[in-house]
Amino acid sequence: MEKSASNPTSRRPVCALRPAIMSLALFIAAVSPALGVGGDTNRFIALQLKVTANQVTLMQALEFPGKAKPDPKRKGLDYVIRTVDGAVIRRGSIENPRFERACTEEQPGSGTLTESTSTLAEAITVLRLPVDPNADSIEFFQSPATGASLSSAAKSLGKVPIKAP
Amino acid sequence: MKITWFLRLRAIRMIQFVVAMAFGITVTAFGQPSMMPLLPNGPTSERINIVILSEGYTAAELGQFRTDATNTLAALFANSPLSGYQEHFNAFAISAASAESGSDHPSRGIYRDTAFGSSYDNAGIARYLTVPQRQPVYNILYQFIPQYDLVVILVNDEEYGGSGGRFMTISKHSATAEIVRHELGHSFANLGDEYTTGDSSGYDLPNATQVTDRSLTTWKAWIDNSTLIPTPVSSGTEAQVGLFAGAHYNSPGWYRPKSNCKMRSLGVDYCEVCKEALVKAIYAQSSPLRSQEPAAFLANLVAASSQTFRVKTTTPPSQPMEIRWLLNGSPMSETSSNLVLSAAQLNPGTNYLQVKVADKTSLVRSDPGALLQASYTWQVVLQASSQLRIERPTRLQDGRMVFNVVGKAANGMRIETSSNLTTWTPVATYGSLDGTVSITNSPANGSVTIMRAVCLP
Repeated sequence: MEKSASNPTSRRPVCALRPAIMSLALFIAAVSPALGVGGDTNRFIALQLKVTANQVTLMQALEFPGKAKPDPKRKGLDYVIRTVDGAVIRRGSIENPRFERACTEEQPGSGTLTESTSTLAEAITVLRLPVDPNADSIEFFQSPATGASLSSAAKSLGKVPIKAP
Repeated sequence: MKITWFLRLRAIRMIQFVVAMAFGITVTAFGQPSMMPLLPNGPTSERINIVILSEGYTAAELGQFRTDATNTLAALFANSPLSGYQEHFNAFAISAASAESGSDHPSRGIYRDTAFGSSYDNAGIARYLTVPQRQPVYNILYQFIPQYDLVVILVNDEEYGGSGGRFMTISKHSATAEIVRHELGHSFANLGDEYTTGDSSGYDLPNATQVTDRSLTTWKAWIDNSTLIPTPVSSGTEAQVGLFAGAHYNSPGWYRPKSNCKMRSLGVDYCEVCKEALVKAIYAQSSPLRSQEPAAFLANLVAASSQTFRVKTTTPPSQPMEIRWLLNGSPMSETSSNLVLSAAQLNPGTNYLQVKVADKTSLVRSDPGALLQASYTWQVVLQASSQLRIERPTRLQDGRMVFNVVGKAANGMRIETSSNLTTWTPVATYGSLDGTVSITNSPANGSVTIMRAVCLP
């Protein structure tokens, strides 16, 4: 079991990380037999992103064993993954975490629903991607409101590296 | 003695602190968060993982949380189609103690010190219960189960409230179970709301469309030819699937599949189209084929022998899994999960045995992505009953060659020699062979000699 953990905004001594890494490894080892966990040969990277109206920035990138699970694909932020040479190898979209919505009953038990929305100045989300040695960076764009495909004129919200330290 | 225990406690606290700091988790005086499986059904990579997090439960209330989490899980699986597909899911309860019980109610000046900082009264709506700060939630998911799929934050507060989105947040109020099932449609199957109040937004979803051409509607497989399009709401059309005006926060211009559905109102069932989307979302992440034997891709059979091939599948709720076997592309008669394949059924050399499984549930009528199907192919090689190979040829210091002949030759074998690969001369004959025999030969000095072992007919 390997795990790399890092927060680019903080510096911790390596020795302080060891107990945490060991705890995680011991936990996984303890849980694995009961769940039949094991045999995962692939890995995924979890990009934790801070999203504002004009920018997407990387907070931290962590790599884990196993298959990358899908994150909600509702249109909100479109992304393009590129190689170091700039070739596009994957496109996708995720929900924009700044736009929160709630379905609430008009009266408890009435069954009649209404929608409430709120827009946050900034919000955090996570995008999980399969580890791909060819993937160098990911660039985010505001999705077109109509749900149409990303146009070449779309405004970039920022490009972040796809690498777990 | 007291000092010893004090020092041990300090050491434990220090370890807890270091672990928690590494993961960005707030350390409380109430101990470490912990995770308990509620529904263990298999590897987290291959199942849909539901995670229920405790919020607003003090350390003394965590026992109650485990009971509440179990009840929440039961509510999630109470209705079709999830009720029939539980084996595709794992579920876990993560206990994280809060310093205080309950949740914030800012409109009444009530604030609680809780693990994830949940609050009612968001966006000016008392029932809008959410967790504004997501970082602590992600940190605990990273620590325990980074392969989470559905996250439910269970708030220890009796007042009615909840919200959807990336994390479903619900209170303990009994009516919130229906909210969870409704929100599951959004979070898990990308279903849209079918009610008409709210802000409009503009793209089609599995259960909301602007398309009015019957042949282009995404749920056309469910619409009878006799159904009017658009479909009027009346007592005669309540049970029909059609195109009903009003969906996705819009009255005009948007259509839903059925007069009513859980994605439109609480307290009613999912409609046929939403059930189909949920079943497909399950199979998009969890295959109907669980395992196969032999596990290896390559199987070898020799003449007059046979081998059993097996598959283990999930169990669909309404009817048995359809299982088909194909040998070299031709369907076989066997339809069970076991197949005994005899060498007599094989062509000499390489053959391909394929098994195809499919959930033929009536809940799904359109599956262009073949999500409800899976297959596995073995390469089966029929080996000849008499087969020899030469191993370890070595030249001795005195110029002689020594090599091993390995394999089976029921009627014996003959060693032959040639200098041009065209003309072969027998040099020795042996009786039946089943194993290894060492041969030593004395080639003429300076000549090229080619040796071969031949099975006798």
